[in-house]
Amino acid sequence: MMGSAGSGKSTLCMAVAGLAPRLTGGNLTGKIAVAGRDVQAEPIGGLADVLGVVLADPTGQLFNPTIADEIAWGLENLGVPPAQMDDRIRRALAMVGLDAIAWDQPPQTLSGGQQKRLALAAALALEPQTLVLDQPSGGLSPAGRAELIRVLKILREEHNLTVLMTESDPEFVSRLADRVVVIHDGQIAHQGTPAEVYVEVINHPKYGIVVPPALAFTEEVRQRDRAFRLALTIDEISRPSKKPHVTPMARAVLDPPEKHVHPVAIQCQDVSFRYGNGPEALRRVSLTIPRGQFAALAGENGAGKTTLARLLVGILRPTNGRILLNGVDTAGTTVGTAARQIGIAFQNPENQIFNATVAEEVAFGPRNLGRSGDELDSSITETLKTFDLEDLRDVPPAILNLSARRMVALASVAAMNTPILVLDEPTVGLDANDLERLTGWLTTAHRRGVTILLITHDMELTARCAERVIILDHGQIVADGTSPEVFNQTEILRQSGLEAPFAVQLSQRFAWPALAADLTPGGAARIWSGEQP
Amino acid sequence: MTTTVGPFSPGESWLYRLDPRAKLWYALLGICLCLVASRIELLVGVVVAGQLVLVGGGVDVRRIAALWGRLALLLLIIVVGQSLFTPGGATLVHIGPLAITAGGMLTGLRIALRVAGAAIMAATPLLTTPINLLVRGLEKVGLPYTWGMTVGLALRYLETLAGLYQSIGEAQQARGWDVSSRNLVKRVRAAVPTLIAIIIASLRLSDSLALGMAARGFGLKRARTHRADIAMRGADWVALVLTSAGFVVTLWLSLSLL
Repeated sequence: MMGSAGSGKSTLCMAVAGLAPRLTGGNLTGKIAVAGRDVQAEPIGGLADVLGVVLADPTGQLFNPTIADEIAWGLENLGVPPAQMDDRIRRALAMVGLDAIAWDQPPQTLSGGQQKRLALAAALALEPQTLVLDQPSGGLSPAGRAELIRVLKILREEHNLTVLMTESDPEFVSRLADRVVVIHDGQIAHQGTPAEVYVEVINHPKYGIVVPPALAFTEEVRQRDRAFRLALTIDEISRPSKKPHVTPMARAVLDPPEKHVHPVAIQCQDVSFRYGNGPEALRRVSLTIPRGQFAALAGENGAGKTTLARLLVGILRPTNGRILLNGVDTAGTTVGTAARQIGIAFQNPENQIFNATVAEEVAFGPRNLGRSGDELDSSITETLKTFDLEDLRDVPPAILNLSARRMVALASVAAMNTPILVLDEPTVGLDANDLERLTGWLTTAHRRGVTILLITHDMELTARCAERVIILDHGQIVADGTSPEVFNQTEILRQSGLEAPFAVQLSQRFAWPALAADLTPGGAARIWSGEQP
Repeated sequence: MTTTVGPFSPGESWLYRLDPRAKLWYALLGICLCLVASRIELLVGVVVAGQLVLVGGGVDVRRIAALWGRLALLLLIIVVGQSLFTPGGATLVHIGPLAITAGGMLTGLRIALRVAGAAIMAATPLLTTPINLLVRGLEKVGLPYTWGMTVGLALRYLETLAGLYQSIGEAQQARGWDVSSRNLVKRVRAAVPTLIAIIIASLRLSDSLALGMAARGFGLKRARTHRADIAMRGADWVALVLTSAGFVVTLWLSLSLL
């Protein structure tokens, strides 16, 4: 199931699982059958032995003290004899590739990707014939996503499971799905194989589906060569018959920092940090980000990226080292004071939405910074327009869907107009249209000279926007350079659970470095077609 | 850093190995004693005994200190408030129109000791028993499973909500709200939207939890089985008898010393 945020795809999944409307409210007409059983005639949870559900956020599903207890809990509800439980736990963990994990470990100690797989194992232990997965790849690093794809492929091929999932990552879908159903405004708008559907949605941005980079590339090449075959993954792209010699244009670079009053926006000097008595979350990190630079910070889940962001805004204080913003040591400033220099959008929009209306939410920051009257009103109106939130101005943000809540959270930070921005995983849960709006805002802010530190697993967005990439691994910087330099360090990317963007992978696949010149599928297509920039 | 689920953190000592019912009985009698006893010496005895059980039972000293840390402000307010506003006995100090009296101070101390004692007693099973076994213990003493599960989940998510309170506060500060202000009205006003956000987040979490639990057969009218069940052993009966005897003796002392 694919479609824009709020299109109704998750609701349909919950209805199939027999949970909507009985636990969610609403009315249902028509009939749904799973494994020949009328869903509405079953008691709530009565389908647990034929249909497993994994929700988007595993926090709501993992509540037992240990991994074994978590998986056993569903078995206990179904009255499975205790003597059979350990065997079923073992098999379920093996099915999701967690067979080496300690059973007495609390689920919360696992990484984000492992937690998703544990939630999957808890569903699989009940031996269902069908699985319903809501946004399975959301928030996972490329390595976590690749592992989940591997597990789901095995489940399909070796255990013959039917899988129904909602997903916004087109590559994840094209690697797994036989069929894609596009839901728009609560109705089926299209359905077919991933190839059929993606080709169709290129011309329908209203569906909010991100076009896979391989398709964007092949579609653009096809505009110049109608014989060129469309592809959904890099593996489907045929070897080029010739490599036209084109001198690619260098990627755009910023104005040199000397123009600015103080050339350095962010400076970390030998910064270390540990939570309580735990191991060091950051180890001797030294980093200088010039004013006006757009840098991306990437790394596996738990590498220390969010910790660094919280240190920059002063929520955490380094256990060692110094942090300077625009040349001023943050040690003596409060978080509230630092907010004049640096704005942060946190990973989870739930943690930053607390006002009664969208307009009040957006006004909260600028008002605290002393803005009022016409200045405040016009900045709110402008920001709401940028994020396409004008129609939601008087709506309580808490009742919006995840994509809209995230846009409100981003708009709230944007309205503060700070010279430095830190964005922690801003793309999770966004549909294609909101992603485009976010990219537009970031590009404009960058042109205005705002210093941006983007924390993300989205390598395509990084390739499109960031001029510098910094990779953290186990609390240390393991790579730092221009985007092309870092994206070509294949081994470091692999060790850090990342993968290069499509254009770099394509250039490596066909030993044609020029394809990665501007790091985007469109740029690669132009080089492929021999077009002079 | 050890990650824990709810107030429990793993341990191997005799206290951790005791059956949850023995610990729940201990907590129940301990709380009753705190409510019934009125002599300061006895209340001090109950608090000290409760503390010794926790320390002797191998509970991490940092977790005990954290418990006292959370209680400290409340205990202070009780003692100061009672000293200032409860008349009785000799006046010790005059503070403007208010006076600290010996009787008021004793009353404050008594209430504070009761609260501290009850908190320590209640914390003993919570700190030393995994939530699922605690739920099983409650179920075995006759509470419906769904009730026990509700209690267990409340304990499990208490820390999540506390973390959320902190995160929302941080998000407010990151948007320029300077809570370093000493203005109490401003600080209280800052807490209101935070609480609203927590209520919204709790509702969202409970919705998600309800869906996740129902999808795994929670609430089905089938006989539940248990992978790890609990059973009273000799040591548990001994603990039960000792607790009961301790309760009777202390209660007798309390009544006879009146």
